Amino acid sequence: MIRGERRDPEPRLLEMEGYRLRLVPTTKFKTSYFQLRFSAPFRPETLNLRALLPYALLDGTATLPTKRLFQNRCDRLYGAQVGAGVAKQGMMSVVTFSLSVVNDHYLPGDARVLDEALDLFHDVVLRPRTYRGLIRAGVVKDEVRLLREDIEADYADKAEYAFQRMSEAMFKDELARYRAKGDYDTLDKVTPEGLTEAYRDMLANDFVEAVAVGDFDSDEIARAFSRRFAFSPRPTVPVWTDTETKDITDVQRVVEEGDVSQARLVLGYRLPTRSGSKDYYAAVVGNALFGDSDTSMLFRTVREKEHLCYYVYSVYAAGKGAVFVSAGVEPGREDQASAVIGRVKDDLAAGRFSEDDLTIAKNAVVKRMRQSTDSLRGIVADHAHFDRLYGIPYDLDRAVAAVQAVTAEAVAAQIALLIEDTEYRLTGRNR
Amino acid sequence: MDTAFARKLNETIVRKTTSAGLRVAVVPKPGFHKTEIHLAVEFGSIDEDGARGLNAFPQGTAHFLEHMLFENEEADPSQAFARVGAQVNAYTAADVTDYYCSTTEAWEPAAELLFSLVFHPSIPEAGVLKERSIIAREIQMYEDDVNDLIYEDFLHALYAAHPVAHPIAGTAKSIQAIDSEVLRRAHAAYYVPSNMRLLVVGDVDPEAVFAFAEGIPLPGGVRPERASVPESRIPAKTAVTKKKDIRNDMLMLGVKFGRPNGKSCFQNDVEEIAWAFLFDCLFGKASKNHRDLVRKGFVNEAFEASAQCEPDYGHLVVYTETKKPASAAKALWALFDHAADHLDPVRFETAKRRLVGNSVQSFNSVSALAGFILDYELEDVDVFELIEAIDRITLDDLKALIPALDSSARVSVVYRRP
Repeated sequence: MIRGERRDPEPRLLEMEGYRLRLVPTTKFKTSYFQLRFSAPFRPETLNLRALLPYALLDGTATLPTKRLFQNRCDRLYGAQVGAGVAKQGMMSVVTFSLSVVNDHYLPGDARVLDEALDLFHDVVLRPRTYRGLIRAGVVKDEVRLLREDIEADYADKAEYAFQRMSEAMFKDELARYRAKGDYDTLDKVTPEGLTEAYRDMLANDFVEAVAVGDFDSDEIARAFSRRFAFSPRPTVPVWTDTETKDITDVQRVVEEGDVSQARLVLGYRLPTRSGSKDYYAAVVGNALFGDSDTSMLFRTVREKEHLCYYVYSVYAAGKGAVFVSAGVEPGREDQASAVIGRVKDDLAAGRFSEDDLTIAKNAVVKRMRQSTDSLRGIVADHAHFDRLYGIPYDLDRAVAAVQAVTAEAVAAQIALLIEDTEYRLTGRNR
Repeated sequence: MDTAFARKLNETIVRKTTSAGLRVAVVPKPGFHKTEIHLAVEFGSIDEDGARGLNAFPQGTAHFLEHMLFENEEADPSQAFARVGAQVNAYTAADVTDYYCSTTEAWEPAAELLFSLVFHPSIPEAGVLKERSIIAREIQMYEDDVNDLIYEDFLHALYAAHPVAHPIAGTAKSIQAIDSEVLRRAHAAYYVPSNMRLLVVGDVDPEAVFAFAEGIPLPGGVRPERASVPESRIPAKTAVTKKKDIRNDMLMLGVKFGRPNGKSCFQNDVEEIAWAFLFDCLFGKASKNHRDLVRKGFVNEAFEASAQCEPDYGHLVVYTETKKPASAAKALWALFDHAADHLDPVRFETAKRRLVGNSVQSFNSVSALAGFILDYELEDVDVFELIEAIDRITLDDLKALIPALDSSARVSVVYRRP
C-alpha cells in the first residue's frame, strides 16, 4: 500500500441466487463500475443473435421505450454509461452488460444517482421493450444495418483486415475462425423471433457472473444486487480455454493483393500453453521478450536494426493458445521481414538473449500488471481471470512474484514451443 | 508555488515555474501505481511554416526531430527506461511535441532519463538516414488509412494559407530535405525551458517534483514567438469527391471560422464546449433528429461532430459513414440552416449534466488525465475554471454561434466506394 493511504476493504466473492458476485471496494476512482456477464458455449448458429442482442436491448426498455428516452435518462443521471457487447472467451460466447456511474459525493448539491442507475441497468437486462412478446422488428432492422456498416468499416483498417484474413485461414476448421462481432454474410437472416428466443435462452441457461468495483459499502451493493437480480439454477459449465488445434506439417501461406502502399504481414503461431497453465507466466514473459513492446527483440531487430517496417509486434492469445506477429513492411521486402522474424524466434528459442533482456521483459510485464489495478476495467479483468481459472481471489503481489520467478530457461522453452501455422501477406497492386 | 483545488472534485493541481523558465504542473493521485511524466515542447507542424514560426523548416521537421531523439548511438533509450521499470514514448501534433514516460516504480530515475533524452540528443547523420527510412514507412502507413486521408483532404479544402493543413509527418519528398543540420537548428531554437512544460500525474509529492526540476541543469534561451496567420472565412475549396477502396461511403462536412477572432484560449475552449451543446440539441443521441437520421440510413454509429477553436484557426467537423452521402449531406445542412429552431432549453440542461458527469469521470485515469490537462496547461487554461464555466454557458451563447454556420463557409468531402 502507498504512503499511509487508508487500506481498502478486502474484495469478496458472494454466492447469489443463480450467480456469483465479485465485490471490489476501492476509493481510488470517481465512478463505480458494474458488470453482468452471460456465458454460453460459442456456436456458429447463435453467433449473429448474440452479436445483435446487446444492441437491441440498449435500444429501449419497457419503461424507457426509445433510444432517445433512454439516452436522456443516462444524461440526467450525470452521464451514466450503460454498455453491452459480446466476445469469445475460451469456448464461450460472453454477453457483457456494464454500468458506469459517477459517485454521488462528486456531484453538485445532494444529487443521488446510484439507485436509479442500477434500476436502469436492471431494466436493460431484464425488462426490454417488446411488441407482442417479441423484440421489435424495427429495432432488428436498424441494428442489423448498423452492425453491417460497422463490419464494413473494419475493411478500411488494413492491419485489422490482414489479421482477420490470417485468422480465417489459420483456424479454418475451428471456432476461433468466427468473429463474435457478427458474420456479415448471414446477418440479415436474423428475425425478431430468433432474437427473442436467444434472449430467453440467455436468461434461462447462461452461466452468470456479476462484478462491482468502486467506492461503496459492499453489503449495500450486495443487497442492491439481490433485490434486482436472481436467476434459476443453471446447468452451463463454462470452459474458459479453447483447446481446439490441429496437426501442422507445412506452413500455410496466403498472399492477397489490396489497395495498400505498405505491405502487411501477419504470422500465426500455435502455442500449447494457455491461461491457467503452470507455464502461463513464462509464456507472458516470453511474448514480451519476443514482440510485445518497443524493447522487444522483434522491434529492436526488424525495425531498429533492419529498418524493414514502421510497426512490428506480437500478441499472445492465452485463451486460445496462439501467438500472432503483425508487421507493416516496405513493399518488396516481405521475404526479408519474414525471415528476420523467424530468425529472432529461433534465437530466443535457443536461449540467445541476455539476463538484461529478460529483466527488461519482466519489468514491462510487471508494470502492466500494476497499472491494471489503476483502472476499473483492469480490476474487473484481473479478477475474472482468477475467479474463472484458479478459483482464488486475484492478488497483485503474488502475481508479480510469479513473474519475477520465471527463469531464462522457462522462457526459451516457451518460445521453442511456438509452431508456425500460417503466414499471410497483403501486398500492393500495380507494382 | 500556486495551488488550484477543486473542493467538490477533491482534486488538486500545483504549479510552479523554475528559475530556468520551465513551467511545471503536478496533479497528485494518491493510491495510484502509475506515474506519468510529460515533457512537452511548443513546437509542432504549424511552426515549420516561415509565415508562422521562427524560420521556415521543411515539412515534417518537428516529427523527424521527435524520432531522432530516440536515436542514440550508445544506448537504446527505450531499454534504458525499461531497466528502471518505465516506458517511454512521444508524439508530434500541429502545435506540440510531447515526450512522455510512465512507471509504476520510483518516478525520479524515469524523469532523469526523460530530461536527458530531450535535452541531450546526439543526432548523428547515420541515424538521420535510418530514421528517414522508418518515417517513410510511417507515411506509407498513413497513406493506407482512409480516416487520416479524409481529414487531410478536409483540412486542405478549408485552409489556403494556414499550415495546420500540412501533414504532421511531412511528405516522402519533404523529409528528404531534413538533415542533421536542420534538426540541430530546430532543436536549438525550440527546445528551450521557457518554451516547454513539465507535467507529472501520479502518487507524487509536488515539492519533490519542483525540487527535481529546479535541480536539473538546463540550457537558457529565448521563447520563440508564434506569428498569427490570418485566415479568411471562405474555404479554399467547397467540395471534394474521391473514389477509395472502401465498403461504405465516408462523408465529412465542415464549416470554417474566420480568424483571428480576438478571443483568449480560455474563451475559445468555452466556445468549443458551447458548440458541443449546440450539436447535442441539433442531432445528439437524445434528439428526434438523430433518430430520423438513423432511420433514414443517413448516419451510423460513426456519426460525430466537434468544433476546434484556436486563436488563429478554427472549424467544425461532422463525420459519418453512409450509403447515401448526398441525401445525408442535404439533411445535415438543412439542420444547420434552421439551427435556431432546434435549441431546446430542457435538452440543453440535460446535456450539461452529462458533461459535468463526464468531467468528473475524466479524473479516473492517470494517462487520460495527463493527456487532457497537458492540452489545457499548454494554453495556460485552468481546467477547474473551465469545468466551472460549463455551468455559466447559456442558450444565448449557443444562439450566438449560429451565424457562423453561414453557407459560404461550408465544405464537404466524400469518399465513395467503388
